[in-house]
Amino acid sequence: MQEKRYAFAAPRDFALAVCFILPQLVVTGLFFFYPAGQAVLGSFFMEDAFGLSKEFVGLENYRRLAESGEYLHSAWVSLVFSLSTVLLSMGLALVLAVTADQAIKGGKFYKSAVIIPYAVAPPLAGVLWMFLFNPSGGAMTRILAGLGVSWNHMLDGDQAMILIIIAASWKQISYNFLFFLAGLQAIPKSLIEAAAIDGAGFWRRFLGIVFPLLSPTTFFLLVVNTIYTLFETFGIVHAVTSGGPAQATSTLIYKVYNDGFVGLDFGGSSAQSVVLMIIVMALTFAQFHFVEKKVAYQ
Amino acid sequence: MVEHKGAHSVISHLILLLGALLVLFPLYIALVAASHPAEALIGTTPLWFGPRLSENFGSVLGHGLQAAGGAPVWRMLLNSTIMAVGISLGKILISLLSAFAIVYFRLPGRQICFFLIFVTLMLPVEIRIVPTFEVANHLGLINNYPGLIFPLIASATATFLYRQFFLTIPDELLEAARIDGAGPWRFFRDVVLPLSRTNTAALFVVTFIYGWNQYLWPLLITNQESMYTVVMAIQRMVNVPDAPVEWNLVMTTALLGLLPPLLVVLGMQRLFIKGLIETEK
Amino acid sequence: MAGIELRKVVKNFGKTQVIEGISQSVPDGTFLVIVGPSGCGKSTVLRLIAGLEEVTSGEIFIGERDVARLEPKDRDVAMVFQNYALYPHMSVRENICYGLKVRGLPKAEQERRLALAADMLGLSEYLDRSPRQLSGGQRQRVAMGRAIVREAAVFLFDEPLSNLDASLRNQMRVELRRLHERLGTTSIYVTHDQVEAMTLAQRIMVMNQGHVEQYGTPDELYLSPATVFTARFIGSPNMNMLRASLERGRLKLPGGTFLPPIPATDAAFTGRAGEILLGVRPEDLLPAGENAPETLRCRVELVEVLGADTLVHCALPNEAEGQEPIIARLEGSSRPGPGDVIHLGIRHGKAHLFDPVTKKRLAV
Repeated sequence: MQEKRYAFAAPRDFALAVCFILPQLVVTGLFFFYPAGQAVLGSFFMEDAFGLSKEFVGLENYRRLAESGEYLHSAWVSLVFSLSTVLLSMGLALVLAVTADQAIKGGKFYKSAVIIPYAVAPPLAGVLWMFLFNPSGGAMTRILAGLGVSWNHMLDGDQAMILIIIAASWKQISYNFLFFLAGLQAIPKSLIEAAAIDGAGFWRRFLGIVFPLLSPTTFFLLVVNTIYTLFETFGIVHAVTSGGPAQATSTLIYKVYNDGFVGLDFGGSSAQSVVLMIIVMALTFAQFHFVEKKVAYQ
Repeated sequence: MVEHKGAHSVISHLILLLGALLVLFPLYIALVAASHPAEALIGTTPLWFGPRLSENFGSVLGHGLQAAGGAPVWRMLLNSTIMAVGISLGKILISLLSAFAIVYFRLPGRQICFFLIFVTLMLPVEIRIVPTFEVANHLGLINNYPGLIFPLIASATATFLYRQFFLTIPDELLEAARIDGAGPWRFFRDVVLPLSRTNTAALFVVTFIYGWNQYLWPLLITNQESMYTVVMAIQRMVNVPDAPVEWNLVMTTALLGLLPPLLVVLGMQRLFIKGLIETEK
Repeated sequence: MAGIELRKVVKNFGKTQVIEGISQSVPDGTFLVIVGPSGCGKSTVLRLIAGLEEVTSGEIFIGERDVARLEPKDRDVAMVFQNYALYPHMSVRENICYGLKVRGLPKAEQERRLALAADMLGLSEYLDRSPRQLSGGQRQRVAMGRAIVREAAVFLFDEPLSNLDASLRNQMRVELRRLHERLGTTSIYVTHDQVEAMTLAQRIMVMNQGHVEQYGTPDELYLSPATVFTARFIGSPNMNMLRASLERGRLKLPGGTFLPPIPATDAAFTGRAGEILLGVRPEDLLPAGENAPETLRCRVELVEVLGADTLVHCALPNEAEGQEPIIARLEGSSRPGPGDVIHLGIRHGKAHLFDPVTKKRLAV
């Protein structure tokens, strides 16, 4: 770990240091580690229907998860939702960022417009799009009707999925746009100019130089977006579809909430939490491993 | 910069214009809807403004939506503001202090502390909702502001940002201060705090938006309408049982709920982008 | 004001000993320059005196007090850093007065000292500016002002001029000298630049690999360097170091030339024979006639014309391994060409002899 050459080392200064670090540790312990520990512990127990007694059941909760068609369905729903949202929002953001990176007039206006969705909370974003796709006369619904598509996401599971993908992607475009733009602006202009002098056209420059140099940003965004789609989009699902219709949009995180708070299955919900924790850890480690490699390479 | 002329520039503008339209379209439609009486939205969506904008805003702010319980939105906005500001200040305060302790003291165990804080990155609130709710319940944090704020103020990213920033402050500054006679507290107050101003402002912008946009936690921790935040309340307005959704008022509320963070993002764009990019890198 | 005395000061970083037990006393009012190559421990010595590093063992006296275990603020020292270490968010005035403010000096006294220092350093017009708005030289003055107002017993300078450009550096050197003459405060100045050391110092301490090679006046160091290291470190271009041998009380050079006999009275030489190192400064090599005895016959390889004088890089034929490089500083008017063969004599009394094993000076 990187350190200062000189620091306060006298024991009498440590009282202050402890006072400084304690609030963070207390909050972290109380609201992060203790609950996380409880979740891990709880995942090995099963409560009776009235919540009166607990029984140690070992890995039973996990076994049930692995065998539960509902849970596997939920995992599949999450996969489709995450993958589509990540690809859609990153793809659009990349196109916009590459275009905005070129010095053109009015760039500031476009940039301001594109970052607006960042300010919109996920459930609000969901509700905005819900209104557009409102089965009884929403603006998009009418356009689709004109094209011969009958839209009702309250009845059609695929359409419900499409709706939350659109809302989640719309909200995330800003974030991806800003990071892609920052990544693009960090690429030395001399490299691009050199390639242009060598006669490389736009696509050649993009595929041969810009995109490879952008790969750390892309990888970072992949990880962050995956975490976003897994967790922060809870608000969209909860406000727009409530996991329906018929579980068609019941993502993993929605199911943790639903089983734990609505279904009151603490053991099952805890086991699901632990599975998600493992996924986040894997993603975070992958990211840091990659970042370290990048640093070593530089 | 490689020059772009003629057709290329037109295409660029076209792409960006489409992007901007895509992004702004839902907001435009929401604003239009918020300017109509409820009848105008039954079975259709008007594309141009109606006459009821200020009435709708007034009604929502003053009385809320009757069908959804009827708490006035001004109260929700107040709750959201208190929560968002509380979370921001809390995060900044405890991160600033803990990063200072980790960087500027040879405190035994400081690396373990840093690691512990860092690991919380991997524990989003959504994952551990049930047990976290139980802790909050035991501590009497239901239906009050401390309950909305405290569980959300621990922050690995803010601590990390401050630590990185402190490491870039030249060592000589601390040494000069030591020779000038300043102890740790004076050094913190007279040197580190003022030097952190820009970072703190940037962090405030980002954490304010984070706090304002919280959804799941307020949903769990509040069950009295007087404590609802605007972001969580919207869900009750669109999921009203046995009644048509009052879209004009829902859109009005949604706009009110996204306006404060929107103003912060646009008004402090540079700080916002700095805060966003630096907390994540 | 006070003198400084180091007693057996040792500093280890982990298992590496970086300061190997230094004992040295510096009289009150001295301007001492510590000089040496990077990594020799000179900055560490300064930081040990300042209290920014803790001694592993030994004592450090400032005046009558052993300060080795005191906090920096209790040692009555002021320090000027290489990168100035000005507080970027404070004005010049606040920067200079910060140490006084922390110590709780009355406002009036702060103002009095500030006015005095600002006047001395020509900073009076800049007191309300921020460091960002100042030039490098002005920032350096502010850093000095911060030290001056403290009226500390000892000033410590850590390579304070190395961030300035050459002409400014010369100017600041003169100012520093004047300042010291005016204030008379005991000062320790660390640099890797031997020219800076020679021009500034009343005393120089040459350090190498954690120990003191030599302590003395600039003259002593230049005229009678105690070790090969000091001999080569002080002076530019470096002193020529030739392998020679003693035969029957006479010095024989690699080319076979004999030098004039060494006075037999010199105790260091009685009965000595064999390998020896002969050091000659470039400025002590003189052109000699072709047939003069006891000269070095060498071939010119490169000529640097400096105007006032000419540096001639030559190769001296060597019996064993071909040739050795040798540099002579000749008068500006002499212009040998590459390939020429010239004859060089050694100025009388300017040969420095060193033991090839201990690298210590053999008295001449």
